Amino acid sequence: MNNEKHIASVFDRDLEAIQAMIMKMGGLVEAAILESSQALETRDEELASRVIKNDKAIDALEEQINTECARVIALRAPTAQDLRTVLTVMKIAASLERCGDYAKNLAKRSTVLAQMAAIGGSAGSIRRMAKAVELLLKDALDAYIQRDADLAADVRVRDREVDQMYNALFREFLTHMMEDPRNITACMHLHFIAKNIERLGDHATGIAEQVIYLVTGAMPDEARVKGDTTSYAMITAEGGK
Amino acid sequence: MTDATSQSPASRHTVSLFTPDSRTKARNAAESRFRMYGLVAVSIGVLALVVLLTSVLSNGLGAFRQTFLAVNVTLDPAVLDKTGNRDLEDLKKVTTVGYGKLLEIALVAALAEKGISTDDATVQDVTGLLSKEAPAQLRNRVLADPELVGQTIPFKVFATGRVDGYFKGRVSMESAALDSNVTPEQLQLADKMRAAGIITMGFNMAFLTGPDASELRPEAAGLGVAILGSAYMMLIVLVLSLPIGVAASIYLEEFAPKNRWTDLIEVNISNLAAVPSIVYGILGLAIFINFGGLPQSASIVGGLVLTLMTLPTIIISTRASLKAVPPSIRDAALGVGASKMQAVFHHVLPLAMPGVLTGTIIGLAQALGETAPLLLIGMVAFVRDFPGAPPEGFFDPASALPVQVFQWTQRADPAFVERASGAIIVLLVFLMMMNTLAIILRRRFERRW
Amino acid sequence: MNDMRIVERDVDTSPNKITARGVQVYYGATHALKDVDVNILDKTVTAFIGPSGCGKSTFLRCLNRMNDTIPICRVEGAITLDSENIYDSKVDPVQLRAKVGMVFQKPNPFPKSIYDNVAYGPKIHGLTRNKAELDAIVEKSLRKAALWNEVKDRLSSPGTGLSGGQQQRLCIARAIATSPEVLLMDEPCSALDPIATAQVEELIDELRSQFSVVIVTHSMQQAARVSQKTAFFHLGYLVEYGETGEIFTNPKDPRTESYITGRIG
Repeated sequence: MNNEKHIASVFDRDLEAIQAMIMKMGGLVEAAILESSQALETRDEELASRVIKNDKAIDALEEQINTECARVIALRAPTAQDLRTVLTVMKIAASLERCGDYAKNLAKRSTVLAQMAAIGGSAGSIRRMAKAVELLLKDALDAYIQRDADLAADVRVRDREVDQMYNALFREFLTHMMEDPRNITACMHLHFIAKNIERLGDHATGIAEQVIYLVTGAMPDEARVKGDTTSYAMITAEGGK
Repeated sequence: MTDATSQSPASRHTVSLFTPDSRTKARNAAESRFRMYGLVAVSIGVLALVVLLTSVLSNGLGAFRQTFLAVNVTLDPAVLDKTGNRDLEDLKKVTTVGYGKLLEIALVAALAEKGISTDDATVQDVTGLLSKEAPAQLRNRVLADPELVGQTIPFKVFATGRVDGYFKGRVSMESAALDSNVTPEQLQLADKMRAAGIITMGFNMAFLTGPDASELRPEAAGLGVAILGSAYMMLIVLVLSLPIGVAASIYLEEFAPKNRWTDLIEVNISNLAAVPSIVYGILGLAIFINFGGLPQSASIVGGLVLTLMTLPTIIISTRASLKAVPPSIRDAALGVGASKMQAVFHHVLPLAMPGVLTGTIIGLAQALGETAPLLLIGMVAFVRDFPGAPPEGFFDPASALPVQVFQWTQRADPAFVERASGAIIVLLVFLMMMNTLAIILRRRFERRW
Repeated sequence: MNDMRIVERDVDTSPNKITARGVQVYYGATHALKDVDVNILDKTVTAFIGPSGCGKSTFLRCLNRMNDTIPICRVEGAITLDSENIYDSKVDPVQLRAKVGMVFQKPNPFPKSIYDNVAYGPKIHGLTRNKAELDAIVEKSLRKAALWNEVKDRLSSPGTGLSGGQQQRLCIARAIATSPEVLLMDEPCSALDPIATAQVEELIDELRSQFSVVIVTHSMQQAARVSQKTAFFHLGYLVEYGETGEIFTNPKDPRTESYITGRIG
């Protein structure tokens, strides 16, 4: 890792600025996820509406990051590590913006769910999943700050657990919906919530992969472990496989 | 179908580098021939130089040695200073005749002291061994120091020219028999005196410091006046031509507008450098002497004429040096806010100095050796008196080194051939000194930019 | 939201330092510069870019009347420095050049000592009263040019003995010793290697807080790195003039876009 300063100090200032922006965005997104899952659990409508409003700030920040990155590329012509830094910032900003959208969706659906009865057991599972994903995102961003490729590789691996949790929830919701059709509305919303959380985990993994690209110069060799098998899941009335 | 006359491309490329082809061989041969021509040319040049130097040195070195007679002269006050006051004005009234008598007495006494018999020679023979200049030498000595009157002083005087020639091999016993100025008896006497130590040969300072002498006294002829005259003229040339030449050059190069008039001036200056020097002599005669009324044969006139001659050389070499200064230096100076004058005098001129100095010294060296213009302004006169101190001394008649050489070669006495060659040696020494000075100055001022 | 913009060096960009209106330049019969109108701001680095022969160096040399030294060059139009027309007959170019300094393409230090190089300008303009003041100016200029630490022990050694980058910085020190208000630079880094170039560019960025700098460069990347305003010249015309970030990400004129993307030369 080259810690020397550029001879032209303005280049260092530019790079620090865009990285500061991405850190701020990461902080905003982490807070959004925390607050939205809290709103879901405590059925706090006010908290949920705050999360929905704050998403605008996240979107604006992404746009600003893109403009500034374009400017840095045009004016500074970064190469090697500097180039990967700028490209990574742009991609992480995109991922974080999507994460922010998912958190907003979570908050939106929690206002609906607040008016319905709880589905047994699912609240706990969802809470666990949300916690796992919050940790994934935090670790991915930490790996970026510290340029730690090992931590990033670890994040990739742990995403599998989130996928497993999602698989289990999927079957559970299918079962509940087959048992009692009155559960369908609630289960559908809960399902989408679970899906969002699982996609959050995928984006966190994407961020981790960008970190590996930044540090080593190449995307990770092994394909990402895809644990999500719900595409093939099937449960019949006689009992699931 | 392959055409039988065409060369297949492949064969052109398969010739080895180790086999020389005919063109290369011819080229290399031509190059070695050219090198050989150069070497031969250089050798011929060096050979010519060696021959020239050898002939000049062999002819001229003898001029620096002279035959002296060493006698003890009693400065009899009864002859020299009748009043007894040691008054300079009174002493001056005694002519060389009186001093001559004293010398003759001294010589006879010296011979008697050494026990050299003078039976074969007449009295004229004995006294004839003394140079005719000898009484004047003694007189000058006494007038310089009047207190010597009444004392007996050891004194060296010149021997006569024929005796000097005898010891240097120009005169032999046979030629002496035919010569009206010397007899073989005198020469034999001279031998004896040499053996006794009365006659010695030594370095002749008077050759460099003494004035010219008449045809009959080659032994006393010296370059003093000529050297002084040349020095004055060189001084005038330096003081006048350097500032005028450099200033004119700077004006033409930096300040003059680039139009037809300036081009015309430039062309004419280049042509002036090629004008025969005798034309400058006529110019000097017409302007300085006839129109300006300056005295003939004066160093000032010679200096002015030589200045006119040297100016084109200095202007041309200064212009070349100024042109050689890169324009980036001028731009840099102007960019900092220097005016044109400041840029030229603070920056361009110091950088051009090596070239300017070289040109000046070359011009001076050329002027030192010029004879033709000086002849026309009347420097062929026989000048015995040293010119005075400057600035009045510039207006006294003087001679110059090359003119002196010319005059001496005109004279009949073969002793003057030796003298002329000696003068040439002095001239060459001066030229070498000036050229060495040019090289030293150039090296010292050379800068890299 | 606005506080996260890339932070520029904190400098107060004042209004126009140099304005040019309808400037035409002729070399004999050739019309080299046509109708140039531009405002150059104070405490800003303005870059002139364009292909060879487009007139950018010619225009630069108009700003300190260096074109006066070329007999066949004729300048028309108005160029004002602080609202005074520099081509007015009352203006002495020598005095102008003390206010508008210039650094040239090839480093050209005087063949004198480093001290004398920097001291020459102040001396001839009479800016100091005694040797102590002159020493102070020399030290200040060399410090500003980021050269002091490298040469403070050998101020009497010749300026031509320094490396290329050091020589150019010496020339910059020489130019700023007269405390000019504007610094003109004609392709100052074209004779330097990349490291020396970067050092000079960093220096220009620092000088920006004290002078207005106008730099002609044939390297677009250099203009992008170092300037805040960029002017694009083409075939004697000033085609576009604007903020550097805008010009390099979204130029308005198609000719500018062609030149910047390397489609015309």
